[in-house]
Amino acid sequence: MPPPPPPPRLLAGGDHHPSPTSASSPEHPFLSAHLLLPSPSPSDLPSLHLPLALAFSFLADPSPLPRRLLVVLHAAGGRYPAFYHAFASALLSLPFPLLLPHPRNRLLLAASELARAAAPGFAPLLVSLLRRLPFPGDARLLDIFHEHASFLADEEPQLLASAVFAFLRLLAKNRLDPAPQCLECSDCGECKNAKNLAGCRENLVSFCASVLRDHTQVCELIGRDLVRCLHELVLVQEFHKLWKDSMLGRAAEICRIGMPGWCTAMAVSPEMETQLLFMMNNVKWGNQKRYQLWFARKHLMVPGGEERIPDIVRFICCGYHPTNKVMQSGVIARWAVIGWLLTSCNKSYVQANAKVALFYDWLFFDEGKGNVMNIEPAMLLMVNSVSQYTDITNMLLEFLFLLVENYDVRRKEAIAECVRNAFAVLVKKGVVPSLDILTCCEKLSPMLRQKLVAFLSSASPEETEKTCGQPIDEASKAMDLNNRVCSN
Amino acid sequence: MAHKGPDAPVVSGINSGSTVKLKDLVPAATNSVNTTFIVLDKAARAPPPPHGRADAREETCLALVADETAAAHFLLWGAERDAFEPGDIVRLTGGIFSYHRSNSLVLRAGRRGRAEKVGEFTMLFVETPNMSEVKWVRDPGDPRRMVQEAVVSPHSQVFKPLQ
Repeated sequence: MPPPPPPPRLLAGGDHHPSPTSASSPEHPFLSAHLLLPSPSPSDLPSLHLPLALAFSFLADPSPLPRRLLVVLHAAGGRYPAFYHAFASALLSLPFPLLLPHPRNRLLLAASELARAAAPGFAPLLVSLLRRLPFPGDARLLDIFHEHASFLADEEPQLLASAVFAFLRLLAKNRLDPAPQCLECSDCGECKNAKNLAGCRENLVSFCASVLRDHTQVCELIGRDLVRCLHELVLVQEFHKLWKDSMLGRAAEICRIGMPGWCTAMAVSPEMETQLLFMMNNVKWGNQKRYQLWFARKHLMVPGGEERIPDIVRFICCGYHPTNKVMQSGVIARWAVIGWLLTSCNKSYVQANAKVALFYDWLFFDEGKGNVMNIEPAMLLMVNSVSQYTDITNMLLEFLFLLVENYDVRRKEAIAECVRNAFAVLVKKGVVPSLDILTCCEKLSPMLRQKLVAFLSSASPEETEKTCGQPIDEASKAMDLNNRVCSN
Repeated sequence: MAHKGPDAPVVSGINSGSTVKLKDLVPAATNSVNTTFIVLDKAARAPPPPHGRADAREETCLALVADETAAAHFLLWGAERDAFEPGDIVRLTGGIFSYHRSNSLVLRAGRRGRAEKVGEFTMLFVETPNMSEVKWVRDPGDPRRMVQEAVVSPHSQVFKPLQ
């Protein structure tokens, strides 16, 4: 008798990856469960191996998906309250970037099925998929959110807001196309029909516009980064109209809300997060070069990669606040990582957006509500660059003044007040001993230094108008900024 | 069940099962090195040997690898050259640390060992000492053993440190 065919694979990997039979492969627990329950049926409900075995069959069984798997899924979910959770966690435990096309499409199908049933555990699964955008076959994710938008607005508003944020970021220039797929699941209709979001830009725009219009309050949970996203998309007609008709009046209010934690996570993929956190928690000063090269090669030097830098900057400012112990342990600091990211921008609009991202919390800083850790990296980057990289300090300070004067001309004075506040709190909390380090620094451009002194000491609006109202260099520079910030 | 328990030797019978750090590498003609390292850099591919037929399995490429104790040169053979990139964390089982061709001291999987990618990025490393840049001599007291005589270079002379 010929030996039975080997079980199908979930993950890519040839001779130089651990085989699924090796305990170090993430596929191993799935395969073990599959060998125990090769064809899950309702009689297997009490088995502890069922979540993994069912997940394996769900991802790997050839097309079309056997109906009995859905029956088992919902029978188990109905009988054991923790089952759906265990099933969703099993799917989450697989390294998504390594999933083969067929299991990846099936994972989306499983997410869709769990969402349809509003099964416990479906939200983290969808969040994790949103963080992986763009990927081949990602259009199904839009279908899921489109189908359940009203339900989610009531029951999982944070999830719906996450989707809007993720989709808006994807719509920003050059990010829609997933990395080309070299492996295809060619013999299956399910995979052949999987669509990419790149092919349905219109649907994506109309979905975001409709949620922004119909569930404005849900979208406002995103806070000020919603406004930042929309500014980058102002040339898209639908968003322009929406902005003019309904968001403009609310913008000031929305900007008072800082970026919530669940939103900072959406700004980067889980792989980026792991690597950034490793750098900022473990890698000592002076040893970061190679890690930066690897990170850049993997995440930045790919199509749409550079465009992610502004969001990475937001993640670092708002999403990761190291403890004092970590800060004193000699590891590479947040401001240094951001400095490196700024110098990694080749496109000027990306660099402008990255600087907006860096100073964004300064523009709306409120001592009572704002966190000094959000504004600390920009300050330390300016201060620590003074001696060796004065260009960076000059560039950042000049940009900060451009923002104060041009970001929202109708609220210029309020923004100036917030920025003054930010400077004051940075000194008060001891991030810098005093602002002399900038105001008395010979190396800094004398004009900027003067401007800073005047800006910090101006108490009344009139005075600010006098000292900061004049163009920094020439009016064209401000125009240039406006174009760069808003035109992509 | 198909698996043989945690850390079952991939190729049975050739390795002792214990894991070493790179700083404990000693040149020896046995394929018994089990270790985990991160690939720091990869050289351009070596041209195929001038004599004989071009055989992809025989073509090599030198890489700089390291862990938190030391660095070493690792020789990638055949398909390994494309399987590993800088930043990859690799587990080597049943590898050899010995002299290859013109006296260069390299770590490699050899015909009976195995190198597997087990992760990426999240591993600390040092570039000094580099065990491939050490001059070894036979231990006068025990000629079967090699001992360090001198450090040829504190870091790799093939892959210069980035700082």
